[in-house]
Amino acid sequence: MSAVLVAEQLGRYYGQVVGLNDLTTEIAGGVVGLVGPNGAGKSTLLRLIAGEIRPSRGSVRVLGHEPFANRELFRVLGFCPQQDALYEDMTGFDIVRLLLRLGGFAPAEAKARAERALERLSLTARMHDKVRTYSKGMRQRVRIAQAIAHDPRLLVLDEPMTGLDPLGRREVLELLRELGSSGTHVLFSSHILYEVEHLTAEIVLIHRGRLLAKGALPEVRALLSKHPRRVELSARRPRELARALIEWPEVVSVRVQPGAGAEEHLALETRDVGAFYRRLTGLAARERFGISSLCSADASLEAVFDYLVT
Amino acid sequence: MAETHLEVYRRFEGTLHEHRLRAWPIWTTGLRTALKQRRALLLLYLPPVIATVIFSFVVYLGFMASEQLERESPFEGLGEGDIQERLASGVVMGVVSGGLKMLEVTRQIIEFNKAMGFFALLAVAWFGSGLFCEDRKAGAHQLYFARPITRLDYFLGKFGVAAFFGLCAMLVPPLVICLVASISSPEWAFLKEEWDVIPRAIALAFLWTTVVTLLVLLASSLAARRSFALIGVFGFFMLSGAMSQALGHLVSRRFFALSLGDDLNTLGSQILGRSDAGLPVSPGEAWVAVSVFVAFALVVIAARLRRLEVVA
Amino acid sequence: MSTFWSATLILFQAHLKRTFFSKRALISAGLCCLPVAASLLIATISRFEGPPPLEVVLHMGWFLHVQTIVPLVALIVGSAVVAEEIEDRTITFLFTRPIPRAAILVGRYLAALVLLVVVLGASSALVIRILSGLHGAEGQEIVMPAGFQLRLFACVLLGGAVYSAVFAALGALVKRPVLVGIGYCFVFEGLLANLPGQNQKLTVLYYLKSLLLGGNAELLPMFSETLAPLELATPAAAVRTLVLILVAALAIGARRLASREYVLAA
Repeated sequence: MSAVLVAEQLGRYYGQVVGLNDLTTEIAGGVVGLVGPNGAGKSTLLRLIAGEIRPSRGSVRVLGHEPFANRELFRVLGFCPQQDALYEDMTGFDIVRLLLRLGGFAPAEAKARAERALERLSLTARMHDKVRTYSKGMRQRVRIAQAIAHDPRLLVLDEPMTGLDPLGRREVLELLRELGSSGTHVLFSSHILYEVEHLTAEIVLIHRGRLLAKGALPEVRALLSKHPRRVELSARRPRELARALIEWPEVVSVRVQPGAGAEEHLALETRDVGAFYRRLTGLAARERFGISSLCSADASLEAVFDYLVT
Repeated sequence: MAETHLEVYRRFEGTLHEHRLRAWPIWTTGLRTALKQRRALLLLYLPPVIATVIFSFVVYLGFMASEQLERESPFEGLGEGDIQERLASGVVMGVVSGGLKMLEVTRQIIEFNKAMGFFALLAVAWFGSGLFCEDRKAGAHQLYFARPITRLDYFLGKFGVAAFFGLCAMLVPPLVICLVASISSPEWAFLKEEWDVIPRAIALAFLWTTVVTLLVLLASSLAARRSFALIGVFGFFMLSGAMSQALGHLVSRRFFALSLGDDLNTLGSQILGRSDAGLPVSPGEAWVAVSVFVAFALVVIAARLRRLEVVA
Repeated sequence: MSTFWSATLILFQAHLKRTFFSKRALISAGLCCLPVAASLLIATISRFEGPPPLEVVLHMGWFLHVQTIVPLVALIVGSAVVAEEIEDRTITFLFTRPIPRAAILVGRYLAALVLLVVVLGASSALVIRILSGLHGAEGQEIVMPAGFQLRLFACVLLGGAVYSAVFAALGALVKRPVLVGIGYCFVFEGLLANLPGQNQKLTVLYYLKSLLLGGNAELLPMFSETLAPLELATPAAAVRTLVLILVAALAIGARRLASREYVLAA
């Protein structure tokens, strides 16, 4: 299968400000989260993909097309921009229908699709009200609705959760998951790492305009060898267990931490989490330390983000 | 301890600080922001600066030439070649000096002062047209009114920003030229004989800047966008001029006073001590028209600022 | 129908209602009422002391309407065509549709043109109607030269169409179209059109003058001092040139819109 996105030394500068610098990557497809701190270049990358701006250097191809003003691409691309912009004096339904009509749909089909898209975003009750009367969350739903209404092959969403309440976030996450499982490629940016993590393990992490990491989250984490993995475990005899563990070559450090009541936990760092787990299984079978819980404390996206960005 | 930070700004209702210059921070912040627009500053002030430099030079040369001509007897004790040379330089000096006499320093300063009004309008329109409407668009007025300031402080702060740029174009060039004229005139003759030009020029600069700034702030308070405010300012000048011409010619001469530009020209001539029979508006009518406009602008701005103040 | 024309039609239909119910439309209508109000005032006053008829026509028809109201209203309406989409950052939605970008300019321009035709046309028709009923100082009826009303009406409409096309194109060409438009109205047109010499031919006003007075042996001598200090083009040539300016402005604007990227703030 050909890649959805191919970027070759892609750079974009705003005067003397670097928006994106020397980004070379390929995204095969599926649901991919684009993460990075403010000003990392996420929106710049998405705007380049959506053909809103041109690269300053390098090239980008989306579904095999150069995106800038490419009408062929726009038939199969849905874009939800970050900016809180809509036609204030139109209704949500009129906006989605207008954009569908411009997409080449006949009036009746555009109407049906607009209604269906707005229904998917739970906006049916208010879709004939003027946008200026909408809340921030409703406006965001209209923007998402116009992006999905024509069933695009690739959906590009810049901060799609902005302005949504917790229920709305859950609905949109569910919608994106649904679209992803039905074969639509979804590329979305978000600051909220928890949500990215819950939607997909595939991430692209950029910082200061450069690509820092790409791929499945556990694989990315595994590649960060300079940062030992943190593992937390609870045991009935933690201090004896700590003595045994500190002898292992892959264990960097072990700390005994107070838990609830008189209970104590162990927090340890290991260079090779696979070898550690294998050895721990053997140890648990041989000795009776009473290990009751075991968790990897820093395999989360947040931890990866912290390691890479700070 | 738990804390919440709700992004709702409420009008400040506590006791105001004792110090009187509460508009000062608004003014200085506005100036700092505006002064960052270097390209605009260059474009707006380059023509007045060039005009001031050239005119200062002309005034200086004129005084120098006339002084030299008075001091020297041009052909005394000279050979034929020297006489020719002196004649040539005399011609130049004569031209400059004669030109200066013809132009009359005072009258030229007055005309120059009035001509600077156009640049003052451009500068005030550029830097002032967004002061209220962009605050409203960005919601920045909520931040202002959540602080211990009154509407008057807010207005004065913004007024100061726009007026500063008007005064830079309207007041500084005539003062520079008056300074050059004072220094280069023999025995401070300019200061002794024509001193009243300086306070008159200052008075005109303040009047013109005040009226133009009020017009710009009025447009900014009414418009939703800066571009609308700009159209409002220039449209007002264009439209009031055309309406005054049409109605002044066809209905009654009093309608000429509808043109704010003509009114200010008339008042300028009066303040600078020149009676110009060619002006269509009489000074009395001009004062009435300008006063009515100022009152109207202040009332509308006050009403619009009242609406800006958040009651959350 | 090609994609361009179908997209133009869809955009025209969608924006027609929006244009008519916008603040700009309200302001434009207000401005267009001013000459009507002034004409009514003149009509009332002239019952007692009538001004010279040609002076009325000159001031109300030309100076106030064609030279002031038309460019101003065209600036207000025309500068919104593309610039409003950019300023409001809604142009992204249109740019990511499979339509030629030029259709955005043309579709929205046509919607703006309908508004201009309605407000300027109504205002102009009312002014002409009111002024045509005036009586001179000694009670004699003001007889407008043959075809004059029609020419004045055409001047207002065509002027509005051409100016708004220029301002619409400016919206695609420059970052601050209103500012440039104001400069164009006040400095370029205002200055050049009143300077003696051939440079008048660089202005839209020259061709509007030509449309009003050109080739009319009866009218030309009456206005030659104030309006036509140089030789005017024939009305047909003036219309041709005005249409050419309109089409050229739209073409340049459309071409720029198609190739230019607009970096919108988040």
